[in-house]
Amino acid sequence: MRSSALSGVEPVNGDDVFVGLENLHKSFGPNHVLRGIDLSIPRGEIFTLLGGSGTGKSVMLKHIIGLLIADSGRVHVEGRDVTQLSERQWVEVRKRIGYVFQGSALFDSLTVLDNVAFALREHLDLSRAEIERRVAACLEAVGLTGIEHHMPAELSGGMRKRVGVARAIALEPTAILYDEPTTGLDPANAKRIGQLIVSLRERLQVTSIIVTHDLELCFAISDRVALLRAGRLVAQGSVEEIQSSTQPEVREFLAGGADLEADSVWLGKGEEGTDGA
Amino acid sequence: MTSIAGVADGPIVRLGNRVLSILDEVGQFTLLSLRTPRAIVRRGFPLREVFVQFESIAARSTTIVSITALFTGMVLALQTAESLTRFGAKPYTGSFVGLAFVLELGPVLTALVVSGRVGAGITAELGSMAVTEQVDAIRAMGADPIQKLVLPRVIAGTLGLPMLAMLANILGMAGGLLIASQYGIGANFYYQSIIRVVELENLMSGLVKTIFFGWTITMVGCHMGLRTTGGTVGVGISTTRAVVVSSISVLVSDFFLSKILMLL
Repeated sequence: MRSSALSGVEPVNGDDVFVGLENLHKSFGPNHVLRGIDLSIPRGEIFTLLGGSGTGKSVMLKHIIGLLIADSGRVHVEGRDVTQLSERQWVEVRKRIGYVFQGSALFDSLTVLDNVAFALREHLDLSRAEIERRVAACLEAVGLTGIEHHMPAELSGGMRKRVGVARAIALEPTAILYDEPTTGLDPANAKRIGQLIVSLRERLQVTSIIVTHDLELCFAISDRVALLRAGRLVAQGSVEEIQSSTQPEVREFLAGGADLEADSVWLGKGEEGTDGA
Repeated sequence: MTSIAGVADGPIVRLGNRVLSILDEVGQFTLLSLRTPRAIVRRGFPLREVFVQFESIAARSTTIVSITALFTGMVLALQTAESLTRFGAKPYTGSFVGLAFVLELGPVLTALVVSGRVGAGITAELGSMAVTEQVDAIRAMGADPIQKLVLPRVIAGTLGLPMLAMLANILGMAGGLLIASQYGIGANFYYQSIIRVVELENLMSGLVKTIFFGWTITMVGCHMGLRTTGGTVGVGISTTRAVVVSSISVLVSDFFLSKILMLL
Protein backbone atom coordinates (compact mmCIF):
# COMPACT_ATOMS: atom_id res chain seq x y z
CA MET A 1 0.00 0.00 0.00
CA ARG A 2 1.53 3.24 -1.08
CA SER A 3 -0.58 5.59 0.92
CA SER A 4 -0.22 5.98 4.62
CA ALA A 5 -3.79 7.29 4.73
CA LEU A 6 -5.01 3.89 3.55
CA SER A 7 -3.74 2.15 6.63
CA GLY A 8 -6.77 3.47 8.51
CA VAL A 9 -9.38 1.70 6.34
CA GLU A 10 -12.43 0.92 8.43
CA PRO A 11 -13.86 -2.60 8.79
CA VAL A 12 -16.22 -3.39 5.92
CA ASN A 13 -18.98 -5.11 7.82
CA GLY A 14 -19.87 -2.48 10.35
CA ASP A 15 -23.45 -1.21 10.41
CA ASP A 16 -22.28 2.31 9.71
CA VAL A 17 -20.55 1.30 6.49
CA PHE A 18 -22.46 1.60 3.26
CA VAL A 19 -19.93 0.18 0.81
CA GLY A 20 -16.86 -1.90 1.45
CA LEU A 21 -14.44 -2.97 -1.26
CA GLU A 22 -11.73 -5.51 -0.51
CA ASN A 23 -8.79 -6.07 -2.84
CA LEU A 24 -10.94 -5.46 -5.91
CA HIS A 25 -9.42 -6.42 -9.27
CA LYS A 26 -10.89 -5.93 -12.72
CA SER A 27 -9.38 -6.42 -16.17
CA PHE A 28 -10.72 -5.84 -19.66
CA GLY A 29 -8.68 -8.06 -21.95
CA PRO A 30 -5.05 -7.08 -21.42
CA ASN A 31 -5.97 -3.90 -19.49
CA HIS A 32 -5.73 -4.44 -15.75
CA VAL A 33 -7.93 -1.50 -14.77
CA LEU A 34 -8.46 -2.00 -11.03
CA ARG A 35 -5.45 -3.42 -9.24
CA GLY A 36 -6.53 -4.11 -5.70
CA ILE A 37 -8.93 -1.49 -4.37
CA ASP A 38 -9.57 -1.40 -0.62
CA LEU A 39 -12.15 1.13 0.44
CA SER A 40 -14.94 1.64 2.88
CA ILE A 41 -17.53 4.39 2.68
CA PRO A 42 -19.66 5.20 5.76
CA ARG A 43 -23.38 5.83 5.51
CA GLY A 44 -24.44 9.38 4.85
CA GLU A 45 -21.06 10.47 3.61
CA ILE A 46 -20.37 12.46 0.46
CA PHE A 47 -17.41 10.53 -0.86
CA THR A 48 -15.58 11.62 -3.98
CA LEU A 49 -13.29 9.46 -6.02
CA LEU A 50 -10.87 11.57 -8.02
CA GLY A 51 -8.79 10.41 -10.91
CA GLY A 52 -7.85 11.22 -14.48
CA SER A 53 -9.69 9.90 -17.50
CA GLY A 54 -9.35 6.18 -18.01
CA THR A 55 -8.09 5.43 -14.50
CA GLY A 56 -11.06 3.17 -13.73
CA LYS A 57 -13.22 5.49 -11.62
CA SER A 58 -16.46 4.61 -13.38
CA VAL A 59 -15.44 0.95 -13.45
CA MET A 60 -15.15 1.00 -9.67
CA LEU A 61 -18.53 2.71 -9.31
CA LYS A 62 -20.22 0.13 -11.51
CA HIS A 63 -19.06 -2.68 -9.20
CA ILE A 64 -21.12 -1.19 -6.37
CA ILE A 65 -24.33 -1.68 -8.32
CA GLY A 66 -23.36 -4.88 -10.13
CA LEU A 67 -23.14 -3.44 -13.64
CA LEU A 68 -19.65 -4.95 -13.61
CA ILE A 69 -18.54 -8.02 -11.70
CA ALA A 70 -15.11 -8.18 -10.07
CA ASP A 71 -12.48 -10.61 -11.35
CA SER A 72 -11.36 -11.06 -7.75
CA GLY A 73 -11.85 -9.37 -4.39
CA ARG A 74 -15.08 -8.64 -2.55
CA VAL A 75 -17.81 -6.02 -2.63
CA HIS A 76 -20.06 -5.39 0.39
CA VAL A 77 -23.15 -3.20 0.24
CA GLU A 78 -24.87 -2.39 3.54
CA GLY A 79 -23.00 -5.23 5.19
CA ARG A 80 -24.05 -7.79 2.61
CA ASP A 81 -21.51 -9.56 0.41
CA VAL A 82 -22.78 -8.86 -3.10
CA THR A 83 -19.75 -10.09 -5.03
CA GLN A 84 -21.33 -13.23 -6.41
CA LEU A 85 -24.97 -12.20 -6.66
CA SER A 86 -26.93 -13.28 -9.70
CA GLU A 87 -28.59 -10.67 -11.91
CA ARG A 88 -31.89 -11.46 -10.17
CA GLN A 89 -30.44 -11.09 -6.70
CA TRP A 90 -28.98 -7.72 -7.64
CA VAL A 91 -32.47 -6.32 -8.13
CA GLU A 92 -33.04 -5.86 -4.38
CA VAL A 93 -29.71 -4.05 -4.00
CA ARG A 94 -30.34 -1.85 -7.04
CA LYS A 95 -33.73 -0.77 -5.74
CA ARG A 96 -31.90 0.84 -2.82
CA ILE A 97 -29.24 2.63 -4.88
CA GLY A 98 -29.76 5.40 -7.42
CA TYR A 99 -27.26 5.75 -10.24
CA VAL A 100 -26.69 8.97 -12.16
CA PHE A 101 -24.99 8.20 -15.44
CA GLN A 102 -22.30 10.35 -17.02
CA GLY A 103 -24.32 11.08 -20.14
CA SER A 104 -27.61 11.02 -18.17
CA ALA A 105 -28.63 7.84 -20.08
CA LEU A 106 -32.25 8.97 -20.27
CA PHE A 107 -34.40 6.74 -22.47
CA ASP A 108 -34.71 8.70 -25.72
CA SER A 109 -38.00 7.12 -26.68
CA LEU A 110 -39.76 7.97 -23.40
CA THR A 111 -40.99 11.27 -22.00
CA VAL A 112 -39.47 12.77 -18.86
CA LEU A 113 -42.46 11.42 -16.92
CA ASP A 114 -41.93 7.89 -18.21
CA ASN A 115 -38.19 8.13 -17.55
CA VAL A 116 -38.62 9.15 -13.93
CA ALA A 117 -41.53 6.74 -13.46
CA PHE A 118 -39.58 3.80 -14.91
CA ALA A 119 -38.42 2.29 -11.61
CA LEU A 120 -41.72 3.15 -9.88
CA ARG A 121 -43.69 1.17 -12.46
CA GLU A 122 -41.17 -1.65 -12.39
CA HIS A 123 -41.17 -2.20 -8.65
CA LEU A 124 -44.26 -0.61 -7.11
CA ASP A 125 -47.92 -1.13 -7.77
CA LEU A 126 -49.06 2.50 -7.79
CA SER A 127 -52.00 4.24 -9.40
CA ARG A 128 -51.37 6.55 -12.34
CA ALA A 129 -52.15 9.58 -10.18
CA GLU A 130 -49.77 8.47 -7.47
CA ILE A 131 -46.99 7.89 -10.02
CA GLU A 132 -47.56 11.35 -11.47
CA ARG A 133 -47.47 12.86 -8.01
CA ARG A 134 -44.20 11.13 -7.11
CA VAL A 135 -42.61 12.02 -10.45
CA ALA A 136 -43.57 15.66 -9.93
CA ALA A 137 -42.05 15.54 -6.43
CA CYS A 138 -38.80 14.07 -7.76
CA LEU A 139 -38.61 16.70 -10.50
CA GLU A 140 -39.32 19.43 -7.98
CA ALA A 141 -36.50 18.13 -5.79
CA VAL A 142 -34.08 18.75 -8.67
CA GLY A 143 -35.57 22.14 -9.47
CA LEU A 144 -37.59 21.18 -12.53
CA THR A 145 -41.33 21.51 -12.81
CA GLY A 146 -43.81 21.17 -15.63
CA ILE A 147 -41.48 19.29 -17.99
CA GLU A 148 -43.08 15.86 -17.54
CA HIS A 149 -44.28 15.61 -21.11
CA HIS A 150 -41.11 16.77 -22.81
CA MET A 151 -38.84 14.32 -24.60
CA PRO A 152 -35.20 14.13 -23.39
CA ALA A 153 -33.98 15.49 -26.75
CA GLU A 154 -35.87 18.73 -26.07
CA LEU A 155 -33.93 19.42 -22.85
CA SER A 156 -30.59 21.14 -22.32
CA GLY A 157 -27.60 19.15 -21.03
CA GLY A 158 -28.04 20.51 -17.51
CA MET A 159 -31.74 19.69 -17.45
CA ARG A 160 -31.09 16.15 -18.71
CA LYS A 161 -28.56 15.68 -15.94
CA ARG A 162 -31.10 16.81 -13.35
CA VAL A 163 -33.79 14.56 -14.81
CA GLY A 164 -31.20 11.78 -14.47
CA VAL A 165 -30.91 12.66 -10.78
CA ALA A 166 -34.72 12.79 -10.43
CA ARG A 167 -34.91 9.30 -11.97
CA ALA A 168 -32.23 8.06 -9.55
CA ILE A 169 -34.14 9.27 -6.47
CA ALA A 170 -37.57 7.99 -7.56
CA LEU A 171 -37.42 4.89 -5.35
CA GLU A 172 -36.11 6.91 -2.40
CA PRO A 173 -32.73 5.17 -2.35
CA THR A 174 -30.31 4.95 0.55
CA ALA A 175 -27.41 5.93 -1.70
CA ILE A 176 -26.84 7.76 -4.94
CA LEU A 177 -23.87 7.07 -7.18
CA TYR A 178 -22.86 9.93 -9.46
CA ASP A 179 -20.70 9.20 -12.50
CA GLU A 180 -19.02 12.44 -13.61
CA PRO A 181 -22.02 14.57 -12.64
CA THR A 182 -20.63 17.89 -13.93
CA THR A 183 -18.89 16.76 -17.10
CA GLY A 184 -20.09 18.73 -20.10
CA LEU A 185 -21.96 21.32 -18.04
CA ASP A 186 -21.44 25.05 -17.97
CA PRO A 187 -20.25 26.54 -14.65
CA ALA A 188 -23.68 27.61 -13.48
CA ASN A 189 -25.20 24.18 -14.12
CA ALA A 190 -22.19 22.45 -12.60
CA LYS A 191 -22.60 24.55 -9.49
CA ARG A 192 -26.30 23.73 -9.36
CA ILE A 193 -25.57 20.00 -9.56
CA GLY A 194 -23.13 20.34 -6.68
CA GLN A 195 -25.75 22.12 -4.58
CA LEU A 196 -28.27 19.45 -5.55
CA ILE A 197 -25.98 16.66 -4.33
CA VAL A 198 -25.61 18.39 -0.96
CA SER A 199 -29.34 19.15 -0.64
CA LEU A 200 -30.30 15.55 -1.49
CA ARG A 201 -27.97 14.28 1.18
CA GLU A 202 -29.64 16.58 3.69
CA ARG A 203 -33.21 15.80 2.61
CA LEU A 204 -32.94 12.05 1.97
CA GLN A 205 -30.03 11.21 4.31
CA VAL A 206 -28.42 9.39 1.40
CA THR A 207 -24.86 8.25 1.01
CA SER A 208 -23.39 10.01 -2.03
CA ILE A 209 -20.55 8.50 -3.99
CA ILE A 210 -19.18 10.70 -6.75
CA VAL A 211 -16.54 9.93 -9.33
CA THR A 212 -15.16 12.97 -11.05
CA HIS A 213 -12.06 14.79 -12.19
CA ASP A 214 -13.74 18.08 -11.34
CA LEU A 215 -11.59 19.39 -8.48
CA GLU A 216 -13.82 22.37 -7.81
CA LEU A 217 -16.89 20.22 -7.27
CA CYS A 218 -14.90 17.72 -5.24
CA PHE A 219 -13.41 20.26 -2.82
CA ALA A 220 -16.68 22.17 -2.47
CA ILE A 221 -18.95 19.33 -1.34
CA SER A 222 -16.98 16.24 -0.26
CA ASP A 223 -16.65 14.86 3.24
CA ARG A 224 -13.90 12.56 2.12
CA VAL A 225 -11.84 12.19 -1.05
CA ALA A 226 -9.75 9.42 -2.54
CA LEU A 227 -7.43 9.54 -5.51
CA LEU A 228 -7.36 6.68 -7.99
CA ARG A 229 -4.27 6.32 -10.10
CA ALA A 230 -3.21 3.44 -12.34
CA GLY A 231 -5.86 1.20 -10.82
CA ARG A 232 -4.88 1.83 -7.19
CA LEU A 233 -6.08 4.20 -4.50
CA VAL A 234 -2.99 6.23 -3.77
CA ALA A 235 -4.46 8.57 -1.19
CA GLN A 236 -7.60 9.25 0.76
CA GLY A 237 -8.63 11.68 3.44
CA SER A 238 -10.63 14.81 4.09
CA VAL A 239 -10.63 17.66 1.58
CA GLU A 240 -8.10 19.53 3.71
CA GLU A 241 -5.83 16.50 3.98
CA ILE A 242 -5.86 15.99 0.21
CA GLN A 243 -5.34 19.66 -0.53
CA SER A 244 -2.40 19.89 1.84
CA SER A 245 -0.94 16.50 0.96
CA THR A 246 2.72 16.45 0.06
CA GLN A 247 2.42 13.04 -1.58
CA PRO A 248 3.90 13.38 -5.10
CA GLU A 249 0.97 11.55 -6.82
CA VAL A 250 -1.53 13.89 -5.19
CA ARG A 251 0.45 17.05 -5.96
CA GLU A 252 0.90 15.88 -9.54
CA PHE A 253 -2.83 15.18 -9.98
CA LEU A 254 -3.88 18.46 -8.41
CA ALA A 255 -1.48 20.36 -10.67
CA GLY A 256 -2.33 18.26 -13.73
CA GLY A 257 -5.97 18.34 -12.79
CA ALA A 258 -5.81 22.10 -12.77
CA ASP A 259 -4.30 22.01 -16.26
CA LEU A 260 -7.01 19.66 -17.37
CA GLU A 261 -9.64 21.97 -16.00
CA ALA A 262 -8.00 24.84 -17.84
CA ASP A 263 -9.20 23.22 -21.06
CA SER A 264 -12.74 22.94 -19.84
CA VAL A 265 -15.62 25.29 -19.26
CA TRP A 266 -14.27 25.98 -15.78
CA LEU A 267 -11.59 28.21 -17.28
CA GLY A 268 -13.56 31.40 -16.87
CA LYS A 269 -15.16 30.45 -13.63
CA GLY A 270 -12.92 32.44 -11.31
CA GLU A 271 -13.19 35.50 -13.53
CA GLU A 272 -16.96 35.27 -13.49
CA GLY A 273 -16.86 35.27 -9.75
CA THR A 274 -18.80 32.05 -9.30
CA ASP A 275 -17.61 30.07 -6.37
CA GLY A 276 -17.29 26.31 -6.10
CA ALA A 277 -20.46 24.30 -6.60
CA MET B 1 -8.79 -11.33 -27.41
CA THR B 2 -5.41 -11.55 -25.74
CA SER B 3 -2.62 -13.40 -27.42
CA ILE B 4 -0.83 -16.17 -25.59
CA ALA B 5 1.96 -14.66 -23.54
CA GLY B 6 5.39 -15.02 -25.05
CA VAL B 7 4.16 -16.14 -28.46
CA ALA B 8 4.38 -13.71 -31.33
CA ASP B 9 1.17 -12.61 -32.98
CA GLY B 10 1.63 -15.17 -35.76
CA PRO B 11 -1.04 -16.69 -37.97
CA ILE B 12 -1.76 -19.55 -35.57
CA VAL B 13 -2.35 -17.21 -32.65
CA ARG B 14 -4.52 -15.00 -34.85
CA LEU B 15 -6.49 -18.03 -36.03
CA GLY B 16 -6.88 -19.21 -32.45
CA ASN B 17 -8.10 -15.81 -31.34
CA ARG B 18 -10.53 -15.68 -34.24
CA VAL B 19 -11.94 -19.10 -33.31
CA LEU B 20 -12.24 -18.05 -29.66
CA SER B 21 -14.02 -14.87 -30.64
CA ILE B 22 -16.51 -16.78 -32.83
CA LEU B 23 -17.13 -19.30 -30.04
CA ASP B 24 -17.65 -16.42 -27.61
CA GLU B 25 -20.17 -14.83 -29.98
CA VAL B 26 -22.04 -18.11 -30.46
CA GLY B 27 -22.04 -18.75 -26.72
CA GLN B 28 -23.41 -15.28 -25.95
CA PHE B 29 -26.08 -15.63 -28.64
CA THR B 30 -27.13 -19.01 -27.25
CA LEU B 31 -27.35 -17.59 -23.73
CA LEU B 32 -29.51 -14.69 -24.93
CA SER B 33 -31.73 -17.14 -26.82
CA LEU B 34 -32.23 -19.19 -23.67
CA ARG B 35 -32.77 -16.19 -21.39
CA THR B 36 -35.36 -14.57 -23.67
CA PRO B 37 -38.20 -17.12 -23.17
CA ARG B 38 -37.21 -17.42 -19.51
CA ALA B 39 -37.82 -13.68 -19.10
CA ILE B 40 -41.55 -14.22 -19.77
CA VAL B 41 -41.77 -16.65 -16.87
CA ARG B 42 -39.76 -14.51 -14.48
CA ARG B 43 -40.81 -10.99 -15.37
CA GLY B 44 -44.14 -11.33 -17.17
CA PHE B 45 -45.36 -10.80 -20.70
CA PRO B 46 -44.74 -7.24 -21.95
CA LEU B 47 -48.04 -6.98 -23.84
CA ARG B 48 -48.07 -3.23 -24.47
CA GLU B 49 -44.49 -3.17 -25.73
CA VAL B 50 -45.21 -6.18 -27.99
CA PHE B 51 -47.96 -4.15 -29.67
CA VAL B 52 -45.62 -1.19 -30.10
CA GLN B 53 -42.95 -3.41 -31.65
CA PHE B 54 -45.46 -5.25 -33.81
CA GLU B 55 -46.45 -1.94 -35.32
CA SER B 56 -42.82 -0.98 -35.90
CA ILE B 57 -41.57 -4.37 -37.11
CA ALA B 58 -44.52 -5.84 -38.98
CA ALA B 59 -47.03 -3.12 -39.83
CA ARG B 60 -44.43 -0.68 -41.11
CA SER B 61 -42.80 -3.35 -43.28
CA THR B 62 -45.93 -3.94 -45.33
CA THR B 63 -45.11 -1.35 -48.01
CA ILE B 64 -41.62 -2.62 -48.80
CA VAL B 65 -42.72 -6.27 -48.61
CA SER B 66 -45.71 -5.53 -50.88
CA ILE B 67 -43.67 -3.76 -53.54
CA THR B 68 -40.98 -6.45 -53.48
CA ALA B 69 -43.51 -9.27 -53.80
CA LEU B 70 -45.65 -7.58 -56.44
CA PHE B 71 -42.77 -6.82 -58.79
CA THR B 72 -41.05 -10.16 -58.21
CA GLY B 73 -44.35 -11.87 -59.06
CA MET B 74 -44.62 -9.77 -62.18
CA VAL B 75 -41.10 -10.43 -63.41
CA LEU B 76 -41.37 -14.12 -62.54
CA ALA B 77 -44.58 -14.44 -64.55
CA LEU B 78 -43.02 -12.50 -67.41
CA GLN B 79 -39.95 -14.73 -67.63
CA THR B 80 -41.94 -17.89 -67.02
CA ALA B 81 -44.65 -17.20 -69.55
CA GLU B 82 -42.04 -16.22 -72.13
CA SER B 83 -39.95 -19.36 -71.54
CA LEU B 84 -42.85 -21.81 -71.21
CA THR B 85 -44.43 -20.54 -74.44
CA ARG B 86 -41.48 -22.06 -76.30
CA PHE B 87 -42.43 -25.49 -74.96
CA GLY B 88 -46.15 -24.99 -75.33
CA ALA B 89 -46.50 -24.99 -71.55
CA LYS B 90 -47.68 -21.42 -71.07
CA PRO B 91 -50.83 -22.51 -69.15
CA TYR B 92 -48.57 -23.66 -66.32
CA THR B 93 -47.42 -20.10 -65.59
CA GLY B 94 -49.87 -19.73 -62.68
CA SER B 95 -48.82 -23.05 -61.15
CA PHE B 96 -45.18 -22.11 -61.41
CA VAL B 97 -45.57 -18.65 -59.87
CA GLY B 98 -47.88 -19.99 -57.14
CA LEU B 99 -45.56 -22.79 -56.07
CA ALA B 100 -42.45 -20.61 -56.27
CA PHE B 101 -44.01 -18.00 -54.01
CA VAL B 102 -45.62 -20.27 -51.46
CA LEU B 103 -42.59 -22.52 -51.06
CA GLU B 104 -39.68 -20.13 -51.37
CA LEU B 105 -40.05 -16.63 -52.68
CA GLY B 106 -42.72 -15.45 -50.23
CA PRO B 107 -40.87 -16.57 -47.10
CA VAL B 108 -37.31 -15.86 -48.25
CA LEU B 109 -37.92 -12.51 -49.95
CA THR B 110 -39.91 -11.31 -46.96
CA ALA B 111 -37.19 -12.47 -44.58
CA LEU B 112 -34.42 -10.76 -46.58
CA VAL B 113 -36.33 -7.51 -46.88
CA VAL B 114 -37.21 -7.55 -43.19
CA SER B 115 -33.66 -8.41 -42.15
CA GLY B 116 -32.50 -5.32 -44.02
CA ARG B 117 -35.17 -3.03 -42.65
CA VAL B 118 -35.97 -4.40 -39.22
CA GLY B 119 -32.76 -6.25 -38.32
CA ALA B 120 -30.72 -3.14 -39.02
CA GLY B 121 -33.20 -0.94 -37.19
CA ILE B 122 -33.20 -3.10 -34.06
CA THR B 123 -29.40 -3.26 -33.94
CA ALA B 124 -29.03 0.48 -34.51
CA GLU B 125 -31.57 1.29 -31.79
CA LEU B 126 -30.28 -1.16 -29.19
CA GLY B 127 -26.68 -0.42 -30.15
CA SER B 128 -27.23 3.29 -29.58
CA MET B 129 -28.87 2.50 -26.25
CA ALA B 130 -25.91 0.30 -25.28
CA VAL B 131 -23.25 2.90 -26.09
CA THR B 132 -25.16 5.69 -24.32
CA GLU B 133 -25.53 3.50 -21.20
CA GLN B 134 -29.33 3.29 -21.52
CA VAL B 135 -29.12 -0.51 -21.32
CA ASP B 136 -27.04 -0.18 -18.14
CA ALA B 137 -29.64 2.30 -16.86
CA ILE B 138 -32.36 -0.35 -17.23
CA ARG B 139 -30.24 -2.78 -15.21
CA ALA B 140 -29.31 -0.12 -12.66
CA MET B 141 -32.99 0.44 -11.93
CA GLY B 142 -33.49 -3.26 -11.22
CA ALA B 143 -35.22 -4.05 -14.52
CA ASP B 144 -34.24 -6.65 -17.10
CA PRO B 145 -33.08 -5.41 -20.55
CA ILE B 146 -34.02 -8.79 -22.04
CA GLN B 147 -37.62 -8.44 -20.88
CA LYS B 148 -37.81 -4.76 -21.76
CA LEU B 149 -35.98 -4.75 -25.09
CA VAL B 150 -35.39 -8.22 -26.52
CA LEU B 151 -38.57 -10.09 -25.68
CA PRO B 152 -41.09 -7.69 -27.30
CA ARG B 153 -39.04 -7.46 -30.50
CA VAL B 154 -38.56 -11.21 -30.79
CA ILE B 155 -42.25 -11.92 -30.18
CA ALA B 156 -43.33 -9.24 -32.65
CA GLY B 157 -40.88 -10.49 -35.30
CA THR B 158 -41.75 -14.15 -34.84
CA LEU B 159 -45.48 -13.48 -35.13
CA GLY B 160 -45.20 -10.74 -37.72
CA LEU B 161 -43.05 -12.45 -40.34
CA PRO B 162 -45.53 -15.24 -41.19
CA MET B 163 -48.19 -12.56 -41.71
CA LEU B 164 -45.91 -10.53 -43.94
CA ALA B 165 -44.99 -13.68 -45.88
CA MET B 166 -48.66 -14.44 -46.38
CA LEU B 167 -49.14 -10.94 -47.75
CA ALA B 168 -46.11 -11.46 -50.01
CA ASN B 169 -47.60 -14.75 -51.31
CA ILE B 170 -50.88 -13.10 -52.20
CA LEU B 171 -49.33 -10.03 -53.82
CA GLY B 172 -46.70 -12.07 -55.65
CA MET B 173 -49.39 -14.22 -57.24
CA ALA B 174 -51.46 -11.12 -57.97
CA GLY B 175 -48.45 -9.54 -59.69
CA GLY B 176 -48.09 -12.73 -61.72
CA LEU B 177 -51.72 -12.48 -62.77
CA LEU B 178 -51.22 -8.94 -64.07
CA ILE B 179 -48.60 -10.20 -66.50
CA ALA B 180 -50.20 -13.59 -67.22
CA SER B 181 -53.32 -11.84 -68.42
CA GLN B 182 -51.24 -10.11 -71.09
CA TYR B 183 -50.21 -13.56 -72.35
CA GLY B 184 -53.83 -14.56 -72.76
CA ILE B 185 -54.17 -16.41 -69.46
CA GLY B 186 -57.53 -15.58 -67.86
CA ALA B 187 -57.90 -14.78 -64.18
CA ASN B 188 -60.04 -17.82 -63.47
CA PHE B 189 -57.69 -20.15 -65.31
CA TYR B 190 -54.69 -18.63 -63.49
CA TYR B 191 -56.42 -19.11 -60.16
CA GLN B 192 -57.39 -22.71 -60.98
CA SER B 193 -53.84 -23.52 -62.09
CA ILE B 194 -52.56 -22.30 -58.73
CA ILE B 195 -54.97 -24.16 -56.47
CA ARG B 196 -54.48 -27.33 -58.53
CA VAL B 197 -50.81 -27.61 -57.57
CA VAL B 198 -50.40 -25.60 -54.37
CA GLU B 199 -51.37 -27.73 -51.41
CA LEU B 200 -51.99 -26.64 -47.84
CA GLU B 201 -48.84 -28.38 -46.69
CA ASN B 202 -46.79 -26.33 -49.19
CA LEU B 203 -48.25 -23.18 -47.68
CA MET B 204 -47.64 -24.38 -44.13
CA SER B 205 -44.07 -25.40 -44.92
CA GLY B 206 -43.35 -21.88 -46.15
CA LEU B 207 -44.99 -20.26 -43.13
CA VAL B 208 -43.20 -22.52 -40.64
CA LYS B 209 -39.92 -21.33 -42.11
CA THR B 210 -40.94 -17.70 -41.64
CA ILE B 211 -41.52 -18.28 -37.93
CA PHE B 212 -37.92 -19.38 -37.68
CA PHE B 213 -36.72 -16.51 -39.89
CA GLY B 214 -38.61 -13.95 -37.80
CA TRP B 215 -37.07 -15.30 -34.63
CA THR B 216 -33.57 -15.37 -36.16
CA ILE B 217 -33.67 -11.84 -37.60
CA THR B 218 -34.91 -10.19 -34.41
CA MET B 219 -32.69 -12.28 -32.15
CA VAL B 220 -29.56 -11.52 -34.19
CA GLY B 221 -30.55 -7.84 -34.29
CA CYS B 222 -30.97 -7.71 -30.51
CA HIS B 223 -27.80 -9.70 -29.83
CA MET B 224 -25.66 -7.48 -32.07
CA GLY B 225 -27.26 -4.35 -30.64
CA LEU B 226 -26.77 -5.25 -26.99
CA ARG B 227 -23.12 -6.22 -27.60
CA THR B 228 -22.29 -2.96 -29.33
CA THR B 229 -19.29 -1.06 -27.99
CA GLY B 230 -17.21 1.76 -29.38
CA GLY B 231 -19.59 4.67 -29.86
CA THR B 232 -21.29 5.59 -33.10
CA VAL B 233 -18.67 3.74 -35.15
CA GLY B 234 -19.51 0.62 -33.17
CA VAL B 235 -23.21 1.10 -33.91
CA GLY B 236 -22.45 1.22 -37.64
CA ILE B 237 -20.28 -1.91 -37.48
CA SER B 238 -22.90 -3.82 -35.46
CA THR B 239 -25.70 -2.81 -37.81
CA THR B 240 -23.83 -4.00 -40.89
CA ARG B 241 -22.90 -7.26 -39.18
CA ALA B 242 -26.48 -7.84 -38.05
CA VAL B 243 -27.80 -7.55 -41.62
CA VAL B 244 -25.03 -9.77 -43.02
CA VAL B 245 -25.42 -12.43 -40.33
CA SER B 246 -29.21 -12.52 -40.41
CA SER B 247 -29.36 -12.58 -44.24
CA ILE B 248 -26.85 -15.44 -44.40
CA SER B 249 -28.68 -17.26 -41.60
CA VAL B 250 -31.95 -16.95 -43.53
CA LEU B 251 -30.46 -18.27 -46.77
CA VAL B 252 -28.53 -21.14 -45.20
CA SER B 253 -31.25 -22.21 -42.79
CA ASP B 254 -33.81 -22.02 -45.59
CA PHE B 255 -32.09 -24.92 -47.34
CA PHE B 256 -31.88 -27.09 -44.25
CA LEU B 257 -35.39 -26.25 -43.07
CA SER B 258 -36.77 -27.07 -46.53
CA LYS B 259 -34.94 -30.39 -46.46
CA ILE B 260 -36.24 -31.23 -42.99
CA LEU B 261 -39.81 -30.17 -43.82
CA MET B 262 -39.75 -32.38 -46.92
CA LEU B 263 -38.88 -35.37 -44.77
CA LEU B 264 -41.76 -34.77 -42.38
